[in-house]
Amino acid sequence: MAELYDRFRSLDRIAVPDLWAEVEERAFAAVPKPLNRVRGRLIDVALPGLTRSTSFRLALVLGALILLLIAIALATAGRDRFTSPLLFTTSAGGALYALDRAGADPQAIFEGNASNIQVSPDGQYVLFEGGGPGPTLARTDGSNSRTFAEGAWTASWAPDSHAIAWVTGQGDQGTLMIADVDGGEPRRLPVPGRVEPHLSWSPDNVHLAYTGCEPGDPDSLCQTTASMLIVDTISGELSEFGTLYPAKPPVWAHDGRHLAVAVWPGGVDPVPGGVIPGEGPALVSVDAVTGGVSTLMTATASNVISLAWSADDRRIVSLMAPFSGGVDIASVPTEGGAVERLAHHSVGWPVGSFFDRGPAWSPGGSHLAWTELDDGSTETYSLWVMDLADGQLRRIAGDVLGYANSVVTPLWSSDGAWIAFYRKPSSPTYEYEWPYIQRVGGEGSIWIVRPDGSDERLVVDDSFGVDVGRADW
Amino acid sequence: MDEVVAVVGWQQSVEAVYRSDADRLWRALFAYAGDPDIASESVAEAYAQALRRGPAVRDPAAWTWRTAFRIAAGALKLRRADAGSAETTGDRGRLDRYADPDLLTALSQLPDAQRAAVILYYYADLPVREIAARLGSNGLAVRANLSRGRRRLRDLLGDDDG
Repeated sequence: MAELYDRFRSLDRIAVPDLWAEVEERAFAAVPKPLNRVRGRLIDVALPGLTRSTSFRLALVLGALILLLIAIALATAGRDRFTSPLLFTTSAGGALYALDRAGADPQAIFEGNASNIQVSPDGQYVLFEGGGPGPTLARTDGSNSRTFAEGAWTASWAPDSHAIAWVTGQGDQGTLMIADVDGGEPRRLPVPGRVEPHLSWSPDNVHLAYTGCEPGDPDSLCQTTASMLIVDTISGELSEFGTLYPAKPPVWAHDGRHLAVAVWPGGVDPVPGGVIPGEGPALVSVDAVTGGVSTLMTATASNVISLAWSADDRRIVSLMAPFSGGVDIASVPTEGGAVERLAHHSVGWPVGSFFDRGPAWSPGGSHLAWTELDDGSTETYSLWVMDLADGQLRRIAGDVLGYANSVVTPLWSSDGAWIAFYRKPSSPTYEYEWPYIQRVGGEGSIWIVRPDGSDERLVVDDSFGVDVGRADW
Repeated sequence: MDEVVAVVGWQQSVEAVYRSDADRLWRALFAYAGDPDIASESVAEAYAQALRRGPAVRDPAAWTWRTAFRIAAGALKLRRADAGSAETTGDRGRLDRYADPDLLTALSQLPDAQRAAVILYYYADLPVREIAARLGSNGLAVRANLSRGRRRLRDLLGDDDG
């Protein structure tokens, strides 16, 4: 057998042709011919002394560089494009504009007098008041504009953006309506009594939580007979949860089963619509399946501004305004344990301003952004962001317009990549009078910034006369 | 710039493999096909494909051997199907002067699978598992082909030492 090895070694005496040039030629032949010709001519003209091997390498390098530049250009353009347009109106005339990327010119999508802009969660549609018998529904590029349903002024978008619910009627006649965005007649959900106009959609787009009054309740504030109800928007099945009187619209957990509700003790707002030092709402968790109610935080001397569930549904973050002033951000465990105060600011919003306009939760509820008076100042505001995972607080922009007749809320882009805020125009038309800043002219500019404070940009300048606090994203 | 470095780096890797391994591959293919044109065609095409495919080819040395043998096997089938062509070209005779003409003749009488296994075992010094990988076969088949091919080759060469 050793001889076989030796005999095979005889093959080594055969001279072998150098085929590498042929290999390169074949590899080039895979390139489409016109491109191949251009490549060859380019190299022949520019670098006539190059060998074929070198020119092949150079062609590869040039090709890769071109691809790299194209990729960088695409990535840069994509970075500036918003996942959904930022919509705003002008102070004079009320024209509705859409801005789809940083650095672009805003496009007018409605020339009339638009107000009460409500962009769908997916950013594809906008509902706004525009002088018709009902609000106008349009795509956010202005196309497919039509009058939606008469009376749907306080609309609530379903999380999937396919349906809108609203309350219509007055007094004892308040009824709950629902309609598909894609068309079809609005239908009335058969719920008894009057419905308060604050609706909370479940994450599965099926249930609506709301506050209702018993039929015939003469109290226009619906205090004595109010309760929290959940209606199945498909079957109409109704569940009632005792005498809970939500101080704010309930907030669904991600599991679609539990709700966080700030409730007035005793089922009644102690001073309806007002604020006095005393007992604020308690925080309860409601199990929509069993009807169980768990008190997570007893009433404190604070008003609850807004609530959000953590991503794992194990905590509820409560943003509260102590009656003594300032703001508290508390983390409340849902399965027992101590309440953790994440932050307390002695200087928050101007007293009395925080009841209907609060800070903004990021999509998914992981961050909170708000405008806040600078320490020791009565007129200069900053934009703050808190990462709720670790309670880290960051001031991400200064010289922010924080108040214009009411608290000005920052806006999150639908992907959470940007925060929009306002600044005063270069020639301000505001009067400052602690604690209120009276808007006289009403214009401002819109800026955007990353949640970490980087990449701040002016996107809508003074010339548009932006109606401060009325934009939506 | 990483992409550029990767592309240039890949071409250099393939050329390095070619410089160290292509001669042996060519000779193995010549022994397998008995035709220098098929050997050259198979080597050039295998390396060109490796170059075009880029780093998706994890092991260029093994990949080019497997590919080249497949190309050569395809060329042999085509040649046999072509009744008008000769078994070998004129260059075969010229090259035989430097090699072992009896060995090449004996190899040409083995079935393709046995011939490939024997060449990779005795000339390329590859273990059975690696032969299987390079021929796209499995260890059992390679052992069987190797055993039968070795016996047949011994008979043809009159080699009885084994």
